Amino acid sequence: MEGDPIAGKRFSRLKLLKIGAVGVAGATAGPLATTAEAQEQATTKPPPLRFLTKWEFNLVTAMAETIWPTDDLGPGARAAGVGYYIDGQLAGGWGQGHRSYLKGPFFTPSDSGHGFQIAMTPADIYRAFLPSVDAYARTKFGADYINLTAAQQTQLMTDLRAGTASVALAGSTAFTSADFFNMFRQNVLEGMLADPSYGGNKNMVGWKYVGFPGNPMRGGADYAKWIFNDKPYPNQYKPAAMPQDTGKKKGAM
Amino acid sequence: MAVQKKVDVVIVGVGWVGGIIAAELTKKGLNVLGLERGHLRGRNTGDWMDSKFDELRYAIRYDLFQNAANETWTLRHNLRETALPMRQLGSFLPGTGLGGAGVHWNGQTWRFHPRDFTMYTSTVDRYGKSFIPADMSIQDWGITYDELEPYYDKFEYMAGIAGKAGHLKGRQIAGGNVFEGSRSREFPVKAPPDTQVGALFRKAVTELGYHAFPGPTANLPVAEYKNPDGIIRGQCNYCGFCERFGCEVGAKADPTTTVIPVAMKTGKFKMRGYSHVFAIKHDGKNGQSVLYYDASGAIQEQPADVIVLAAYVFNNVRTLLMSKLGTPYDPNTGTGSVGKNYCYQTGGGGATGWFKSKKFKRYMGAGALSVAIDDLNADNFDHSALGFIGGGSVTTGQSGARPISSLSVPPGTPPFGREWKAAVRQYYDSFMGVGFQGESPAYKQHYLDLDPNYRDSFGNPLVRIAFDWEPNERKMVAYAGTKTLEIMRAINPDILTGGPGALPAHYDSVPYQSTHNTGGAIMGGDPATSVVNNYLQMWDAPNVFVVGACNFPQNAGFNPTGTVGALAYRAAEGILKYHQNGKALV
Repeated sequence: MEGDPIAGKRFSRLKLLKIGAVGVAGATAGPLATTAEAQEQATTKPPPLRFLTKWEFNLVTAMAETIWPTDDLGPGARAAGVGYYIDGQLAGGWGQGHRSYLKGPFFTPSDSGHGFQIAMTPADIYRAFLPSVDAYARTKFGADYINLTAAQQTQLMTDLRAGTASVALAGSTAFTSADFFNMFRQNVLEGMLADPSYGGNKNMVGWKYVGFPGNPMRGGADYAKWIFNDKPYPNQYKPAAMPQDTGKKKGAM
Repeated sequence: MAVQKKVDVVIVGVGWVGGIIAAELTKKGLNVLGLERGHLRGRNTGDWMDSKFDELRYAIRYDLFQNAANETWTLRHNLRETALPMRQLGSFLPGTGLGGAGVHWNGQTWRFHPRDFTMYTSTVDRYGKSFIPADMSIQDWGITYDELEPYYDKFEYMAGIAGKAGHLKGRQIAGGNVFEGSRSREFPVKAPPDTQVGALFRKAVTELGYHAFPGPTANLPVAEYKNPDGIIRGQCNYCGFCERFGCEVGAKADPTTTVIPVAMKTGKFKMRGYSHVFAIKHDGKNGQSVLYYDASGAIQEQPADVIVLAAYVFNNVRTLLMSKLGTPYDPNTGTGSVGKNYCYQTGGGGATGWFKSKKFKRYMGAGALSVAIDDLNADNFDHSALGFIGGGSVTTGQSGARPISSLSVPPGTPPFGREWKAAVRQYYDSFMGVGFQGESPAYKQHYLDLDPNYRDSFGNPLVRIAFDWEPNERKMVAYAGTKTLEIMRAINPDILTGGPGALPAHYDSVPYQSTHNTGGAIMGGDPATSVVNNYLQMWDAPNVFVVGACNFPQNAGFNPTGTVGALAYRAAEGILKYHQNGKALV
């Protein structure tokens, strides 16, 4: 491993930029964009689930829709594919705790500010929590979450957030329904606003809605012409796909 | 354990500090080896272009940061509490791999005030000894601003920092920071213009009688900059993906595009990746070698004439403690110095405003693109009637609005559902903040040691942090909040929040606050109360240099990188002197 890992070419990068030749071969494409066959599949049937069961997926999708609903303002979590996004995250490194320190001993902190102190990955937490969401829904409203009215779902989500819902993990005081609400809400925001290649934000609906223009390098990377004045940026609500999703490089959009 | 061939100098960690020292020493012909615990992937613009604009990967899932599953820290708020591990990264985000945090920083490049280097003496001189809380352990640095000025200058010209001098060769200049120490020359690059939010902030603070100036930035605002090493960098695109990301055009000064290539070009600098140093082998007088795990987990020994610890704050301190080199700090007796005066950065005290009919193009931005005032920092205002020590820099920046992390809705908006969704769209591009970045003074009970219960993936103890918010900082933040609210009122948004700032009941390791951890291997003029002298040379082992923000006796109200860079150039000079005379330099 000893030696020079930095190519001498670095010194001529500016020149490369000027002739528009930045970048290396082998651009990574989105997971479903590698073959025409995969693209065809993506448009005709939903992708397979990789962690969630079908009922968990339906519950997660319905809960996500409560956070970010479909209405006259614009599409919501269901249309954006947030359930698929969350499924992918739970199956992947984050959900499986690849960046979480999970060595013991575990104990409940004596004061605030220590975060979650439980021996569970995010995927474990979802799996343990979701059944008790439905159990709470049945106790309070007599039906599973997906069969409640929108008003009842809003009430239930409010209870989760307040920590008043009795759906804390068995035996744990260190992870409450409020903690689950916060984790879930963050995952919904990610599913609405992360790069579409992660399975949510389908057709960039989230970006279009909030007014995030996507690829900042389109049209020759011209933000320097806009950032120091108050002229409206014409592309704010017309997001462009990121270079990693198009395989195109700077200035090529 | 295999023993490797001896080198002149071994550097532990190849970020800004390691890169600067490697460049300076190899220019003078020394053979230098860098041991980097992470990868050695050499970033080039193409690498970044293919994956760069991925908020989830870099900003949310922490692609460039230390993996907490392998190594984290434990935290206790007081010495009676059993420390608990930070199970996910949160409060701070140290980097790993070639370039370290120098790859993913924002680029805010400050000089500390002359008073910061003599904080204890200056405070006593102006307010008397009794003004300092009994448990506060602030110290002087053992170096003055004037002594460090040439090294600041060197770092700024190497990195092509843009800004406007406010104090040049003893003369104050309107439009720059009139509170700063005197500069020997102007910034190497002209400051960028104000953004819309910057202009609103500038107008308001000027009306209130403050002194506005452009925040100094390492995001190059001009077409091209050639530094004294011959490195050429290009212009910032204001893409808005700066902090937590690498720069796709090399416009952000970064060790992998500046000092490391300079060192490589000499042919005298070698690096080994996946080489995790955990201890210095020594005879009680000098360091002999460093011990590290290689990629297979096997222990290797690397002998060297000079050993430089250039890793992040925690790892430098841990290596000393693991090596039993220097005397560990004991908070009960106040003796010893390794681990002493761990400090952080005090946030809170900001104000936010929402506008019904303005759009700021917040999705465009650069990490250090800001307008600032320094009137409320350090001892730039009279504290005698205020009952606290310290202050902070106040800024309005425009660093981009990656959408997952940049939604802001006015107070009273529900946290989800239709009404929230409507507010998200209305205000995503229509709010601004006035931020306060406060000092973090040192306390006797805030320090670093080795945790007795929790271990890393190699089986070594984690660093244990003892830290909490203290009454002095609570008063400081409360005061700052009233001032930033006045500024926000003058900006006159439709809706605003602010007022006396508050810190949580205890320091919270979960929400991101700042990767400005400092102390633990502090510099000073007295071997009894510091780990290194003002060349960052260990009092207890003259061939061991420990360099970085770990040297700060307490933290100032500014981002640390400018000072870290200056200390690295100072250390490089010290190492060259030591290599010739083999003696303690102070």
